[in-house]
Parts: sequence; C-alpha cells; structure tokens
Amino acid sequence: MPTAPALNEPYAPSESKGRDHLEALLRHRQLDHTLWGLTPVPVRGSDPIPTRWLVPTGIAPLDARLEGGLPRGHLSEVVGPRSSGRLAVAVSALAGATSRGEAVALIDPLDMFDPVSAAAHHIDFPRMLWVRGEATSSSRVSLSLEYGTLQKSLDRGVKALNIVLQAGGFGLVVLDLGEVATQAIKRLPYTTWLRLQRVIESSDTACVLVGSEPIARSSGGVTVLLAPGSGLPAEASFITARVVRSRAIESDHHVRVPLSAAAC
Amino acid sequence: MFACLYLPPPANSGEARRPARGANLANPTNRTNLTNPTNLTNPTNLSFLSLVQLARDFSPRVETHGALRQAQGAPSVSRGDHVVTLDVSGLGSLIGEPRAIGEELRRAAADAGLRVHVAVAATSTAAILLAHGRAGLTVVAPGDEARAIAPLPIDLLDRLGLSASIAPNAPVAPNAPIAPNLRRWGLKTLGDLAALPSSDLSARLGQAGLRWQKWARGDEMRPLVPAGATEQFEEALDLEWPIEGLEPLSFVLARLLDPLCDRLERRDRGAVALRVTLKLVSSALHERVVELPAPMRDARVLRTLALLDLESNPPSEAIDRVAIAVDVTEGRVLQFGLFARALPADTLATLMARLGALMGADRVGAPALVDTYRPGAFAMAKFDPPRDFTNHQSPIPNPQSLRGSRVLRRFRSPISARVALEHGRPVRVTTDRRGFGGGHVERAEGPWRSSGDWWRASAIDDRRSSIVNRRIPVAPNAPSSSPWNCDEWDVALRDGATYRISHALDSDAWFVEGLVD
Repeated sequence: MPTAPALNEPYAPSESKGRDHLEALLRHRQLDHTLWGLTPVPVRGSDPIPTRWLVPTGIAPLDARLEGGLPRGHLSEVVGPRSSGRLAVAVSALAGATSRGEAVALIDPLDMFDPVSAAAHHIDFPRMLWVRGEATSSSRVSLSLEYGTLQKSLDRGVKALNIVLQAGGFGLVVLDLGEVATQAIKRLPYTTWLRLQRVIESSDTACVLVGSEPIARSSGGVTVLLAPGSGLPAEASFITARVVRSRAIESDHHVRVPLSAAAC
Repeated sequence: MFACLYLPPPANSGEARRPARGANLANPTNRTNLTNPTNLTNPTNLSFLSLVQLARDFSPRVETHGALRQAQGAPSVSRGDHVVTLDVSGLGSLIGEPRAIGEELRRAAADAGLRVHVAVAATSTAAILLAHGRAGLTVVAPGDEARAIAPLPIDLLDRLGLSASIAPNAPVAPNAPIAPNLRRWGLKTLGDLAALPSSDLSARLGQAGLRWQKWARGDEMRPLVPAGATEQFEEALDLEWPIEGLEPLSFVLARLLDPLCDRLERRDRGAVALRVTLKLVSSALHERVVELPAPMRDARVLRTLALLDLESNPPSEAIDRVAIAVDVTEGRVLQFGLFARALPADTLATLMARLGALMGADRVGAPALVDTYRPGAFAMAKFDPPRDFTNHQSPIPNPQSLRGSRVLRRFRSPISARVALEHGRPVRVTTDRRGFGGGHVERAEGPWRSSGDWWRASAIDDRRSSIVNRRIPVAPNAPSSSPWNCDEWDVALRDGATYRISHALDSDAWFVEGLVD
C-alpha cells in the first residue's frame, strides 16, 4: 500500500516529479485508473487491478492464474486445439457475467453454438445475445464454394463483432473462431484487430477471441493457451492452460484446472 | 371568466344522436359511434368537432366534457350532449364585456349551423349548469353565480352525470340517480340544496353530498384542464430530381427527421412507429413502417433505423417524394440503476436493426431452450435483457445438458459418417468431409438413447419410408416435427478431438453431430 503524499509537501516544478506526485495521490485515493482511462494497464509489481475491471472466467484456478479474470477494455484470446476446452472456458465466463446481471454477446460465425450443452454452465440466456452466421458444415460443397462461404461468414462475424462493441453495454463479448480455418483468419487485414481494440479500449467490455491459434491480443489483454487434452471424455472435466501476458514475465508454468459446473 | 357551449340533442332527431329505445347500451358496437370522436361518418361527431373548433377559434384553453373527459370531478354529461368549456378571460380587451363575448360566441355558432346554449360566468361550474339549464345566452356577473343557479331544477345533477363520482362508502348506491333521493327530502331546486347545512349533508351523504352542494352553489371545483389538439407529426419533401440509392436518401431523411424530432422534444413526445412513404417515379408508393421497441426521438437513431429497414426492403425505382410520419406517445422517463449496465432501448433497437440487416433478422436474438429431448433443439427469443438481477435460467431439465461440463459445437447439418463396430461399440469413424478425416476410436462413451415424436400420426409413414429406402439418411435433428430415434456416442479419436456421433436406429445411418470442446 503506497503512502499518501502530504498535501502540504512542496510541489516540484519539474514535469516528471509533478506527475509522480499526482499519481501517488490518486493511487492512495484509489482513483489511479483515471490516469490511463477506464482500464489500468497491468504492470508487474504494481498494485493489483481492481476486480471491477476484470471479468472472471468462473474457473477458480484459471482466475487465480489470470489474477482475477479477463481484463475489460482489452482484446483477449482463448486458443487451443479441438476439444481442449476453449469453448467451455468462454461459456463459463459468459455464464459468470450473466449471473452478475451483465449482458453478454456471442458472435458465432459458423452457427455452431449448442444451447443445450451450454445450459449446464447455468448461463442466463435472456441476457445473452447470440449472433448466428451461416452454417457451412455441408459435406457436399465444392472447395472453392466452401472457402468463399467461409470467408464471407468470417467477414460478417467480424463486422457483427464491431457493431456489438460499438453499441457498448455488454460486459463480455465472445467471437468464436474455433472452427474457422487459420488461412481464412490470416486473410483478414491485421488492422481489423487494431480497429476492434480501438473500439473497446475506452469501454468496460471484455472481448474474447476463441480460436485454434493465437489471433490477436491487445497490449493489456491476455492469451489463455489451452494444451491438447487427453481426448478422453472421462477426463474432459480437466483442462491444461497457460496464461501469456505481454507486459509480464511469463513462466512456462502450466495449470491443470478442473472444469466443472460447480466451479462456475 | 369562463364560457360554456352546450349543444343539446335536437328534439326531432333524437334517434340520430341517442340510441334507439330498447337498444343495448352495454353493447360496445352501439356505443362506438357516440363515443369515438374520430369517427367522422357520424353526424353527431361532426357537430361535436365543429363545436370544439368553434371554441378553439376563441380561446386556446378549451376543455371538452362528456364522453371525452370523465375525470374525477368533471361532469360526464349525458351521451349525445356536447359540452365545451373555454377560458375567455383574455377576450375582454379584444371583444369587450362578457355579454359581448357571449353574443359573439352565439353568432359564430349560428354561422356554423350549431344551435347552442351559451353561458358566461366567473366559474366554469356555474357556466356549465347555466348552459344546461337555460336556452340562449346567459351572462352572470361575478359573485352572482349562486343566485343565478338557485332556480335551476335539481334534476340537472343527474343530467350532468355526477352520480358516477359518488363515494363508494356513501349510503346511496354508486351510479344511482341523485335527484329522487334529494326530492324525497323536499328539495326541488339547486338553491334548496345549496341552503342545507354542510355538516348535516356530509353526515348523511358523505363527501359526495358536499360535492353536489358545491356544484349547486356554483363553486369552482377544479381548474380548467385544456384539451390538447391532436397534433400530427409529419414531414414531407418533394425532390427536384429523383434520387436513387440510400446514400442520398440519408441526407433527405436527416433533413426531415431533424425538425420532426425537435417538435417531438418540444411536445415531450416519443415516436413508437416510424412511417416512411416514398413516392417513386412511376407514381407507385413504397411504404415502410418501422415499429420501435420504446418511445424515442433521437433523429440519428430514427434515421439509422429507417435506412436499415430500407436497405433490407429497397424501393424498386428512383424516388420523387419522401414523406415521414411518426406515431407518438408520451415521452419516456427512464431511471437507470447505479450498478447494472443497461442497454438503452434506442441503442438496443439500433443494434438489433444493424445486426438484422447484416446477418438476417432471424439469426439474431437470445437462445432459448425448448421442452424436448430432441438433439440440437433450440429456439430463438427476442433479445431484451432484463434489468433485474434475477437469474432467468430455464428450469427445463434436459439430461443432455448434464452429460458433462464441456460444450458442444453442433453441426446444424450433421455430417454423414461410416462407423465400424466391434461388440456393438464404435471402433473407427470415417467421413467424406474435409477436415474430419476420422480415424481409430481411442475411447468411446455411450450410448445415450433418445427417441420422440414417434407417436405423431405422420411419423409412422415417415419411419416406414425411411426403413424401406435405407440409403436416405434421416438426420436426427432435422425437421422439428419428424420423429427421431437414435443412439449418441462421444468418441475420442487419435487426433485428440472428441466428437459426438449418433446412430439413427430406424435408418441405420451414422452422423457426426458435433465436436465436444
């Protein structure tokens, strides 16, 4: 806990010292977030981020690794191979947000979300906006048509994400790119993600991208890397995760966390 | 100073204004023509509207009585009678003495073909009573109201419908006529009622009796409540050159909506429906109605919603004329909570319109569970997040949702698969689908058997045909009315992924339903 500077302390004329003085004063009064906008930049060794600026995933060990949850106002990602639990982590976070009375959104470009299986996480569906793209899982489409449809669905999904983020008012917005081919994602201009980050950086919305490989993460966001699971349904209640931050020294420590409805 | 215009029903055409003798007044269809002033086909309503317009020509403060106003304390005159009260206080410098005002009113009414009773008095109560009680023009000097009213018959209270406002705990039954009770006491005129001791009257008849006595004395009961004119919120623009496309139309809409929303702001009204009428170069009309989820008057929001609607339903030709009309209601007063993030209604409406235009209106909403065990069954509900903190999780139990904490990515069109079995358990899964090559099954869990809708009449024929033609796969979650009968397995393949496969028992076909993630 930093000590509060005395108000009668002589004011230094230099700009840097004056800023330090002001920051210390604001930090003491828990108003330090005003220095960087709505969301403070997490710096290792500094004060912990207030929990109101985080969106817990609802999985206690993972939240502990995330130091509270996914940061608001930033672009984070949950990535991993198939059946690694990436969608379960996202749905768990969505369920936790709805239980706190927040509105959430799921952008589903390929229309693959299954409400019945997600209901096990006690998600409050009336608070969840579901934007469904076109399903492309037909087994009889030609390769060119399939790729064209896929790219179109992806473009629409990103546009829908942009619209939802611009509207504001959502605590958590998830874009599910888990089954979108990596080549299609790479065809998107990289400025796409910069623009999305620009949209949410002054808001209290946490945006999460779900994919098979790292896609994009803002400077204050986190990447949750999920390791391939055993693939056995009997052990499907456990996931192996590693958290990567851009501004923190990250160890290779993996955490194996239980993924159960009770953890939500 | 108030004036009252009373248009009595003509004696020789009572059938035209009053319901015929024996007609059932309880039947709404019999009362509609009398009470709905907007029904212009009825001559009764036409004369009433003429009376109101006449009053508005003299004063902006006009109150209508009768079927239009039955507020507490206001007289609800007999059906078919038309009464209008207006404040003529400011007309003294323009017209002259109260008598001159009354004569001017009567002359204007005669010019309009209306034979009205006119009364001018210091209180609206006295003016209403005198207009009912005396034909022609009656002018009462300030302070002489009680003396002028005193000779009027006590039956007048019944004609004004004051019995409808009787207190519930009064000794007289509600809606019972007043005059017979008072006449039994020997009272014949309003002056007799006014002369009674108020305390004794209150002891016998309660507050209703005091209210009748105030009427009989000509006391002012309440301030005049001016009736607002029905204002139309419409704007139109004839274009010099026809325009095509939505971009130029956006500027036209902005030009029309900005002043329209200013008027809504001034009148404290909000738009609940936006009607856009485009006259095309072929003189055809392209009409669109945008229903709004909440009253709003933000020009940018309304323009966006109109443009998004026209983007989905574009006009077929160039546009010659643009007209916008809005249906209005009272302005919205909204108090947001301190702790809940709220989506304002106008923001939500814009969001849903934008997403609907991009993805399709039927593909945006809130997921909802349905009361069935059919694999993959769900419904789409309107997204309208509740503002309270109550969890609205559906209580419908579904064993599929309790199978594990993993979430399924479901293929809306299940992928046809070939499955090799050993001892009744899948050991190898292959498909023709790119990206789902399949392979050896490392481990399998199941089966979970479910069936349903086989009891429907059409289901028997469907099942028979599917058994006869086994090459036609019957997807377990394709049309919601068709029966299903399948076993589901969760299989882990060598690629590390876990898939959900199903075996349609009737057709002996296998499908990959989804991916457990």
